[in-house]
Amino acid sequence: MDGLTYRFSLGGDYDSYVRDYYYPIGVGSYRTPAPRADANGEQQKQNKINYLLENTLTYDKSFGKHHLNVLGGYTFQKENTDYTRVIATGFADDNIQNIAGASAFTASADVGIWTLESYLARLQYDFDSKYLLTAAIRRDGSSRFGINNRWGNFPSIAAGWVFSRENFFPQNDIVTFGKVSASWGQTGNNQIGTYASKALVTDSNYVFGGGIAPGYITTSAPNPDLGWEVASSLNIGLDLGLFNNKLNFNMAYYKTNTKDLLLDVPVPQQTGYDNVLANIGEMENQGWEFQLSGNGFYLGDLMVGFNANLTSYENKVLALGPGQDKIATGRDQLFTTQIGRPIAEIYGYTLDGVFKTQDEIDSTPHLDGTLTGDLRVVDINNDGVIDDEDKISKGTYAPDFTYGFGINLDYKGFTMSANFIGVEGRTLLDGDLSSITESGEGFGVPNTYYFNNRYHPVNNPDGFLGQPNFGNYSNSRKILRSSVTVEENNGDYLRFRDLRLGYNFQKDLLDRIKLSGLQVYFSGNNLFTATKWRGWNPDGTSSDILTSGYNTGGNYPISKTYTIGLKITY
Amino acid sequence: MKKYIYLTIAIAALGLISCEKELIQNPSTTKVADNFYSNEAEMEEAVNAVFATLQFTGVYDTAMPAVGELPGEDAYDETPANDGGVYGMLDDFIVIPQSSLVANVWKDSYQGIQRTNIVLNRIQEVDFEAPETKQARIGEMLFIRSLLYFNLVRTFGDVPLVTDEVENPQEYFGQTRAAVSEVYKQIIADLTEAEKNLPIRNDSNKGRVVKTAAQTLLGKVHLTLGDYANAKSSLLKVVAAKAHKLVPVNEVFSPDNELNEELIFVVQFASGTNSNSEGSDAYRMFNPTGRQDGGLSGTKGHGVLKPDFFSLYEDVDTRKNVYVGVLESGLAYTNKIAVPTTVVGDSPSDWTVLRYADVLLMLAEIENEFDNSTTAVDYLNEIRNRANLGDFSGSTDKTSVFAEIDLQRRLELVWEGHRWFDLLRQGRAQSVLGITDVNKLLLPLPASQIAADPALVQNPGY
Repeated sequence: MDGLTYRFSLGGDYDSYVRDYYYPIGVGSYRTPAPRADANGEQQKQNKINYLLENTLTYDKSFGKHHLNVLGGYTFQKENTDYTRVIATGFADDNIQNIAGASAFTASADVGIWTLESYLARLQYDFDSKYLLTAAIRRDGSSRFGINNRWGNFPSIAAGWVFSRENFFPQNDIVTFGKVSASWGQTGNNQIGTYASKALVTDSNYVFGGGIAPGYITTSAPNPDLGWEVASSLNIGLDLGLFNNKLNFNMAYYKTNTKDLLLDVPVPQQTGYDNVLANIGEMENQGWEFQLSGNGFYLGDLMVGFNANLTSYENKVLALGPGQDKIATGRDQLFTTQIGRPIAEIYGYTLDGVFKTQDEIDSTPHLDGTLTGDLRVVDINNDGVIDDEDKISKGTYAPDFTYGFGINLDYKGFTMSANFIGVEGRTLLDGDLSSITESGEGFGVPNTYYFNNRYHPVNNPDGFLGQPNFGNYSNSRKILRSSVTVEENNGDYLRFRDLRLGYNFQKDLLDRIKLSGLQVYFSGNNLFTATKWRGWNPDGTSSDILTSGYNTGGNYPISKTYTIGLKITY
Repeated sequence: MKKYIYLTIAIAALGLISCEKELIQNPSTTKVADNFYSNEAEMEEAVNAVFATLQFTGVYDTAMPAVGELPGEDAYDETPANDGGVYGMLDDFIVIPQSSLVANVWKDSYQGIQRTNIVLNRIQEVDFEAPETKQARIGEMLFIRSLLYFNLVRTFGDVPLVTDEVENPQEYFGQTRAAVSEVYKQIIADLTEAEKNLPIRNDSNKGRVVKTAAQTLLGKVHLTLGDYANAKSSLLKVVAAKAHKLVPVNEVFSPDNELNEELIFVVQFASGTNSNSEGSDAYRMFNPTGRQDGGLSGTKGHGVLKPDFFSLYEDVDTRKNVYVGVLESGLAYTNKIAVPTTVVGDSPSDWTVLRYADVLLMLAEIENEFDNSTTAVDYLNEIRNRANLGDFSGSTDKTSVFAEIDLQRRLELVWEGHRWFDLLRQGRAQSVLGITDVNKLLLPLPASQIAADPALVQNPGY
């Protein structure tokens, strides 16, 4: 049949790694001088095979000005991860520096398999490239979910109208293209552990009379109802092309409602469990996107192009688990998610310098164990005591808006382009700053910010950070150290993301050396980031959305690169 | 024709692969609860995992010993700000709800309780070869559950009471703390039932939970509640069982003489086993930083003994330099936790929870409360004579006998995690230790738990 296409595809990924680790006898460890009694060796091997099988049947046909495209399909994906680990001890010396030199071994194995099965159907229709309509539905089944809720149905529909193609649209040189579009659709999220819905039984051993007594017990709570997290998104957009499409403008409004959020929620520990992964609650994201770009404007021999964009974000939690209106979790329970507020707000005390005299402490609300030189906390609710009620929201990792802008120039073969991006309204909490570099406690090297701003009655009487004290482990010290790094919008930044300078050699020269193109260029990425953030990376965050904005040493700083190049085209 | 061929292939491909059962994936390298707990061997593994919780940091590895000993007057923290200050806070009565030690006590105890609940819920369905084994396991679970609740109720006061296997943890949001009296009611009921189920001590079961363990713990519970009559009758059963006796001082805690007849219930640890994961961290945590026995450095000083306390031992006292040792600097330390032979955090010493000397001293205290000072002194003399101190020759008025019992409890039971709880049950913690704030007699609930569920109300003063 004409226009009918059947497509079968089989794709796969194979990923493998071997990790060899050796900690020699000749290297000491914490409080153990070299040579140590034994070395540690370890070998880990993992093989991962992922294959995706797709069957689609497409019917594509134009009837006059009507164009129809219908697709039906079935896909199946499976991933198999096979991991083994051998830990070796009993090394006689450092001669053989891998597990082969050991005499005692413990081995463990881990196999994980997940599958995803999907049925798809999609209909696309357009009339004269003027009216556009797409409707689709997919049905996905994931092995990760509980037996009762494996399958999810995700419909979507989108419509567009290119009004500039209408006869009644006045032909003009200003607005040369115009389109409005709207779409609504649902998507599912299954990004959870392979066996997250099952009650797993893991080992916990005892010793009877010196001999090992193998123990096994349930260590994760079962959840046969665990199912898809569903996001329903509405998008409305307007696209305009101006001045023969030399200037393009897009704007869009989006609103996403996410239901049955897959959250790893802390549960009361009298249950024997710490956290349970469950479909809990509902949240809403909405915002605007604007984009403007232009190209091909000439000022004499100078060609100018530019682009700018802005996206706003607004997040609100609509519901949590039954009977629950607040989740406080993460470091010092400062990450707070509550109904009617954005998810994962970072709470903190508001600090106001340090106490310089005992009289000041005695006459001001303070935490237990406060000494002179310790931080002073603002009694936000004015009730005469400093407690949890004095913590207030300092913002979220999710910013108020992000933006970007750039320019590109071309003058007689010299080219230049530069792009900037920025984030406004982001708050972060840094684990390392608060426990090591800015805590003023032992076991850490302070950073210069801490050193310059620490209080010292003689050397730095105007310092506003707590005086170094290795011996104080009071309420005051422990509770306030996270708040030192939490400050409203401390994660804002403007980054010079890339710069490219080049020169294209002129045609007469190229002809002589028989090349069709020759360019020399310099480019640099992430040349600078303007931010007051003192941690490594203002984009760093934890992967758990309930603790978004928790920044630790695991979040590497962003790298800066410079490239000088020569591009030759024959 | 061609299109039909394609269609056929498509349908065949769909039919071949579309297989609902591919969506059912069970772990092949991890056990799952659905098909576990089905026979005696698996039930025994579950029981072992219950015992394992007693070795956890928050239970008898380090936290409960610290809670029981550090607030007392004899032990103190040499390096109070180290390790998050959690031990120093106990010593100085400034524990904060953010303390990781407090969090561990709570979490690990309830993990143990949940595990006992799992076994108790499932064991009925499983056939055992010998019915008495099954009965003993039930008794063990009830004993461990009541021991954990006893620790919790003495540490935190009112605590949530969970005695069923938790199927859906989310249903427990909103559970409030059960009153102390209700918790004790459960403990007494569990121990009474455990006593019926547990076997008498013999050579093959001496490392497990035996009948006299339930009787001793029940006696201690009654004594804590001030019910001297029931405490006495329960403890007398332990004496009458003749399963235990005092052994020579140098044998009580010797690693070569583990599970000896004096010991009624211990949490077992072993060194160099299972990648050094079965040893106790108590040696490293509580010994003075200056102690380097066995060439091992890295001790942390969180529970050293005061020189004043060491001087309470008379020179003839055989316990001196056996139960406790002293460094040249004058700092003393408990010698009841053996020096590890592997790494510093892997001591082989079992943690003694209940032993016969404690039974005798509790009986002495009870008899003295009943004004039977002669009987009280008889019990006391068993302890004194074993330590080579001879019979008690002081005045036999109630106060003097009490003072001697109190002294002998300190000298005999030092660093076994009794002192704080003794002072609490005797109502003397504030006067002896000079605590002005009555709220400090209970520890705070972990901050993370108050945050997780507002239905849990923090103890006053925290």
